[in-house]
Amino acid sequence: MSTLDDDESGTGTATERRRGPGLTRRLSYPVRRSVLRLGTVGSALLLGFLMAFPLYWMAQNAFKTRLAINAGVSWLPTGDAFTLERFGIVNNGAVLTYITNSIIVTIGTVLLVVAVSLVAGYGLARYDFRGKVAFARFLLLGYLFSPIVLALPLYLIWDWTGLLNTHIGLILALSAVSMPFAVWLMWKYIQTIPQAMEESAWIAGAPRWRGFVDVVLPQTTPAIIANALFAFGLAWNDFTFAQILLPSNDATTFPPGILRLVNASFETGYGDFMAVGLLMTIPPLLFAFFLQSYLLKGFEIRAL
Amino acid sequence: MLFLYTLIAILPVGFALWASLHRIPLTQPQWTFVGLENYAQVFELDRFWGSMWRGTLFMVGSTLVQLAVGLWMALVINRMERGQRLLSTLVFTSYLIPTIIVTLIALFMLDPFVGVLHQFGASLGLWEGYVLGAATWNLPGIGEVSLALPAVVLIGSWKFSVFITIFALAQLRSIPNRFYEAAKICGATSWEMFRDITLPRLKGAILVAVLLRSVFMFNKYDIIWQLTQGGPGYETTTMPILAYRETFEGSAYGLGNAIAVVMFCFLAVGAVAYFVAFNPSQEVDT
Amino acid sequence: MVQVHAQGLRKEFGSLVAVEEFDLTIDEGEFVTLVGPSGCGKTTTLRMFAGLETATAGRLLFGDRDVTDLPPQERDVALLFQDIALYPHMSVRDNMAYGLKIAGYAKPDRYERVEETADLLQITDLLDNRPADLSGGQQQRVALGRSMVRDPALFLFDEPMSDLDAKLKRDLRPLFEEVTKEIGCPTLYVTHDQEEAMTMSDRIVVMDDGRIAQVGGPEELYDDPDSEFVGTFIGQPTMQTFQGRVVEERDGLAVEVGEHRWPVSTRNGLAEYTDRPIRVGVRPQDISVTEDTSGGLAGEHVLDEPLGDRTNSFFDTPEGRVTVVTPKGFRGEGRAYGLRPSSSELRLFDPDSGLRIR
Repeated sequence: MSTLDDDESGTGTATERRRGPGLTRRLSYPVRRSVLRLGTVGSALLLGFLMAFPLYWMAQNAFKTRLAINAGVSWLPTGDAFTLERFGIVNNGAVLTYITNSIIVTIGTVLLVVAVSLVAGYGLARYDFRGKVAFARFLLLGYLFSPIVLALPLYLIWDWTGLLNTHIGLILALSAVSMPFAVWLMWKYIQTIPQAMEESAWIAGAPRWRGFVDVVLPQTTPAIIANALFAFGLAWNDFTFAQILLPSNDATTFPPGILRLVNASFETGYGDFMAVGLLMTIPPLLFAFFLQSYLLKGFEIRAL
Repeated sequence: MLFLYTLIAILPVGFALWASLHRIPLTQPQWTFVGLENYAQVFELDRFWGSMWRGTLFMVGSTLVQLAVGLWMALVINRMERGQRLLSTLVFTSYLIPTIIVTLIALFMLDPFVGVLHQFGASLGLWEGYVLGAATWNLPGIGEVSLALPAVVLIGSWKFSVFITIFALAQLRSIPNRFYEAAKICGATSWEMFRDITLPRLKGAILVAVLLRSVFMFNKYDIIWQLTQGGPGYETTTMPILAYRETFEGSAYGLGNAIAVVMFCFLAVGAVAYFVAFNPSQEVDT
Repeated sequence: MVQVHAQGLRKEFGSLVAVEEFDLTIDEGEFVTLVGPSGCGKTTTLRMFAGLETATAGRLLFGDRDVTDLPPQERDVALLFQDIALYPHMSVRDNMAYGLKIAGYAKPDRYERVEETADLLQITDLLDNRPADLSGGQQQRVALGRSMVRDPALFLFDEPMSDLDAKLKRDLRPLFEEVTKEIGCPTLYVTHDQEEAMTMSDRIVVMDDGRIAQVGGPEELYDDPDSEFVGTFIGQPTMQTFQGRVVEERDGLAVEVGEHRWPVSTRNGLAEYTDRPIRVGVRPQDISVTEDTSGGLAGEHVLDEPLGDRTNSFFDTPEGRVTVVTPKGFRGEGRAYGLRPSSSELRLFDPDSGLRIR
């Protein structure tokens, strides 16, 4: 075939010609592969160390006596330095209240976000209505809202409506912040479930809501878990809203509460904070280990 | 559902706009209509322009660090043959761990008396004073620079880089293996496959992630406040911190809202420009 | 261009042996098809040739070059994928030029060569499109173009047509053959479709459960299968098989199926099966249908599938359902018939090993 053999007249063997001019500059394959492997393993070790060291530092110091911490840097709580007393901080009335409040707010937010995102996501995926596209853009805009931009106005609004210093007030605010992402994710996810499945349920005589509950709902489990995780991360984490919307010491959640202790109290030391920090890290750690594929799935929907 | 969202997202913005036109002392809320006076005052404030500058520095610095570290981490995790689950657990942990705990650990590790990181840095001669306080670097040509802002950027990046990692990882997983196999058959090296397949496929997601990170970091309030309360002085006061300080420390609710509105406009303009320039959502669709 | 040799290739995944004892030589310009049911190891074998899997044992030679441990990058093979694998973010032109780009050709050279190839494949007008805008057949043409621009030492096809419709398959089949003939390199084509294998190949390798069952030309496999597996795998409609016995008659050996006996010409190995069970195979084309029910296996007609030039007819017999190729226009109308296999076309197999008794 003349088309492919037109450089037949050129010099060099067939192999050289085939491999082209570019391949000669290269390092040999085994060299490249070991460089790459070395780079990967080295990077992994370095990054792993950077990620893990602060956690390790928190954990080991949670088991140290105050004396041992004040004595300076040490690597493990051994001998006299070891104590479990630090965990007694949970019995400190204030800290217990903060944690309880955090748990209430987190659970409330997760439930509300999951419920609303399901209904809204289903509506967006299955019903056409005017302004659907505009609404989608609007969801996107939700990302631009700074917590501060929302929280400052909400402070006075909540004050007037009596929601200031209530769990409900914070749950509503946090849900509103999680909602754009949650609705978007659910919307995209439900779109991947073929409508034919529902239609076959309708033909079997199921009303629309039965179709939703029996056919759609069970299949959205991954998206529900992803949404719940994101809402959990947001609520468990939230500092800004809680600080502004729950100014009272009795109502506030863990993050602003503990910061008050850090800045105000001289009775509690780093060991106590590390101990309570360790306790608060355990749920995220468990989620991270067991549910990471769901989190990743949430991001995979590329919910913008 | 539209209703709830509108209620909580739109109402406050309108409310903020309205409030920003009044003088409202926080302690005895009496609204006095002052028109645009608050805005005039905002733009005259030295600390406003300072905060704008620091906020931008914080945003750009954080986004760049997070992009570099996050992407690096995603590529490494994607390539790892063993220990992948361990490293990705760490990644997701730092995504889910409350910011306040990151703060607590950072405060502890940087403590001038018992902090491991403080002592490590001090023994290398990197700093002498409290990193989040008085410590400075004398940079040639610029002069004394407080370490507080860079420190806050780095501490924030410890927690938030993984956002990019997870985003990129999700994208990397979605690239079918056969693309790489086809490229291998063509003789492509790992670098060439990265350049010609991974990077183009990742580009859209990276743009989106950069947009989101920039917005989030510009809006970032919690970690800065927890670490430094905007101090020392105004060294780490970014826009959100300024809005908070004016409202609750300066007790000027209207002024605080004016700052919030300005912030919002600034971001909206930035985001629109970004979308026009890159159109990231379209990239993501393909 | 060179021969390709595989010697004793073996691939294990953990404790699972996917391929073993794979020996094959493909000549310059020869089109060899690897065919077998899914899970028989044919794709694994192809991936070993490509370098995408590393052989656990055995050697692979391209000419005198030992490529066993070389990565795919250094093997100079072309591979056409089942799922096409065009890069969605590149234009058709850049997709096709990718291999040349990697090889370091300058842009004008790359595009010139791509144009020539595109011309040959009649896809010149598609060059500026994105793969997503093309139909399945067009995509596979582009993928073919991408594989061939680089003058491979070995051309590999991994079920490239299994996702395409029947008409496209018929269009692409001659194209694949022409292109590989033009390039003149050895070609290994994997498919599960025996019709594809029959129509395209110089030689066919039938694989079963990780091993080569038989190698040969299309007619050879059809007429002279080494085992019941090959016999039933090759040919449409499928070879009909029966449980039978070998019996001795006055003038020689005969095969008994149900109540009927057919004399068989003397075969060396058959005597030892006397009075023992045996598997009897006959192609539907070699069974004749008579109105006389005692003239062969009694069968009740079930239905006809007219194909235009012939008919596939199905009969229920005491030995199970039997397919027969009947002449054009045949209508059984549900009556009873006698089915008589041509005794010279009987293929006899060992009931345990499935191997042919010759």
